[in-house]
Amino acid sequence: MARYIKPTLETKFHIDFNWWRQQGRNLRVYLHSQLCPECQAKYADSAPEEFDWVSLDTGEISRVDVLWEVIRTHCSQQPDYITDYTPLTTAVFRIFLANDNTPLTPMGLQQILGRKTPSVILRTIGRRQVYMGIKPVSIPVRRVMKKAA
Amino acid sequence: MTQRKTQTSTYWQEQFVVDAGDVEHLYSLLLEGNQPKPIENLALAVVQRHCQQEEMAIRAELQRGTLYQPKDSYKVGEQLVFPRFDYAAGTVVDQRSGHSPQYGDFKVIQVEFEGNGGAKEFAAAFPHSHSLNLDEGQSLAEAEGLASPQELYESYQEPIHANLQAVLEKNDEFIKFRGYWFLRGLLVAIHDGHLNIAEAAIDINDKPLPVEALLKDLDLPADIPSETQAISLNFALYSDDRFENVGPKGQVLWYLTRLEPPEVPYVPTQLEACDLPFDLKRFDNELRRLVGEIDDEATDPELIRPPITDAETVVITLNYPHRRAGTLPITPKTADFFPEADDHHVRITMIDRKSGQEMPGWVVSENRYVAGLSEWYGRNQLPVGAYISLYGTDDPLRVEIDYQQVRLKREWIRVAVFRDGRLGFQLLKQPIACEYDDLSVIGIQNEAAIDAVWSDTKQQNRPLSSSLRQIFPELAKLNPQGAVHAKTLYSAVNVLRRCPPGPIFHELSTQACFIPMGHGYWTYDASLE
Repeated sequence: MARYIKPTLETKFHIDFNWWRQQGRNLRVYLHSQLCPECQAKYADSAPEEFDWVSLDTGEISRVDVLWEVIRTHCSQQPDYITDYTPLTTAVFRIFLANDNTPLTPMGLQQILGRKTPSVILRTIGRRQVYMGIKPVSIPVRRVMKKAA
Repeated sequence: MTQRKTQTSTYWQEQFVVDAGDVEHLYSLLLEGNQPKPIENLALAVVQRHCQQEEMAIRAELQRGTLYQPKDSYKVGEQLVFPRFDYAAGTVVDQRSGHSPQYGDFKVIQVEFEGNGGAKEFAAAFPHSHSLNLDEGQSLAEAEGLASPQELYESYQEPIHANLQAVLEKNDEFIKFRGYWFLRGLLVAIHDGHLNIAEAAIDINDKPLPVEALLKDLDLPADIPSETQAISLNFALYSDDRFENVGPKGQVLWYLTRLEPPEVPYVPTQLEACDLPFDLKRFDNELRRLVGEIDDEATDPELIRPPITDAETVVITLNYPHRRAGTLPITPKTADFFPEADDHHVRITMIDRKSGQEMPGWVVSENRYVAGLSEWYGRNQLPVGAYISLYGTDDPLRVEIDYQQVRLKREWIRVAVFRDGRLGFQLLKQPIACEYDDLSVIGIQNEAAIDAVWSDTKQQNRPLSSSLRQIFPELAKLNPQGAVHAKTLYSAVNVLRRCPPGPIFHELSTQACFIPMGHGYWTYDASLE
């Protein structure tokens, strides 16, 4: 089991695609629910299709459903993409969709969100219980583990 | 780029350990410099060493393969090193075309990591900007935007200092004096003869002397750096019970312990305050005001009324414990007039403002009192409750002291008397030649008897409530209405035992037998106990 390090206001978070796989959850189904009404109708019966999502942080490739790109390029531009009534965790998820999953700290998220406080955001997404795959960006501890062994 | 461990707060705050290599490094540093160094310099040297070690480890990792950059193309079988994955090494085992509506054409390489690192896919021949790509001529360190060792040290100074000090203090080869560290083996030999000369120099000058002045008489070899001479002598004096550092903060001045009055190294019995809890919320407004007004060093400074900043003079009311001990309280009102001790106490000069006569004073910062005034109080026959004025001078080590002199006359004041070995109070005509606080004034006729009662009260561990029930009726009978002011009660209780106003006022506020009459006056009804 991964070591739990308590996140702080300076910890960067992102959507961890591995979490979705490990939990056996269907990211495509969830992405579909985040589409704007127009796109929900358009992609209601579309066949699943994945693309190579490139992490601008690590260069790592993740196979992600194309609905991700639809949301990023179209739905996120709609005025009601994130409103004051959007639940906080959903709003954070949508921010990461819109910024192509660029890692952000609770402070950075608060600046984009313009509501709540960084502490409230941290308390919401920084728990051991992970929601929607929103997790701290983990720094591998391979060298430390090797030394410990 | 990846975050090196030395670039993280977790490393310096939780994982940082000063190891044998660090100690050896510092040993060499002091040996080569042959000069004492402050903890700040040593700590920075350790931070630099840890950063250099990490840099060397990273360089070694990089030699295991090509640094992965998304812009580059790679062949199957090529060995790569991944900065974002703690410089893990892996081998390219497969390659395919990438598919992304956003990025167009690029390659995807599959990399098998060493050990049980598993396989991951990475972008290659990626034609867009990426934080892992190095510009032409750009070094890895530059791309990582590393905080310098100096910046790291400044950010995590506290845990680094604590760790380093703990290790050095356990190591006999290192010695410390006032934040400066040196090697015991490099100290100049200071023998008994040198120390005897230093003792004589202080004795003859009859004042504290800095180490530089003492060195002039010692004739140490001239080729030894002056810093080394200074720390050697300082350390020798520090280790010898005959000498004591009596300088103000940041300044070392040596004096002889045998020339210091006993109330300097040991807190006088009269100033040993009880530490009873009290609840300010239960006080009425007048009692709250009085807690802040009474000049008692045992009261939490935050409760004392803030002083007027930059005041050139301050007036305080003398209580019995300080009158008896020949001391003054250091409270927020008086603190600005006295220097803070570098060590335990500072020697200052108190100047009688009327006569200009100088007398040694001792600021005992830790215990918040200034000693050395017994003779001055006695000579001027100052009663408990007398107003004492302090005046600052241009020299922080010189303070003027005065009282408000009036023509000598006999006045009716309450006087502490003894009946059947018990403390009581009577109104008696007493010669008074100074202004005083009418609510606090108490005449003292028999100090020896008070000392005996004081000692009994302490030995019997007598409760404060018992003392109040003894003293209150004694004071009440001196007033036609049977009322006693809280300030008077504080002053009288402190003739019997040392107690700040808070616990006394707590008893007044919480015991039904004490009845408030307004304006700080209280009566006592024994039937309500």
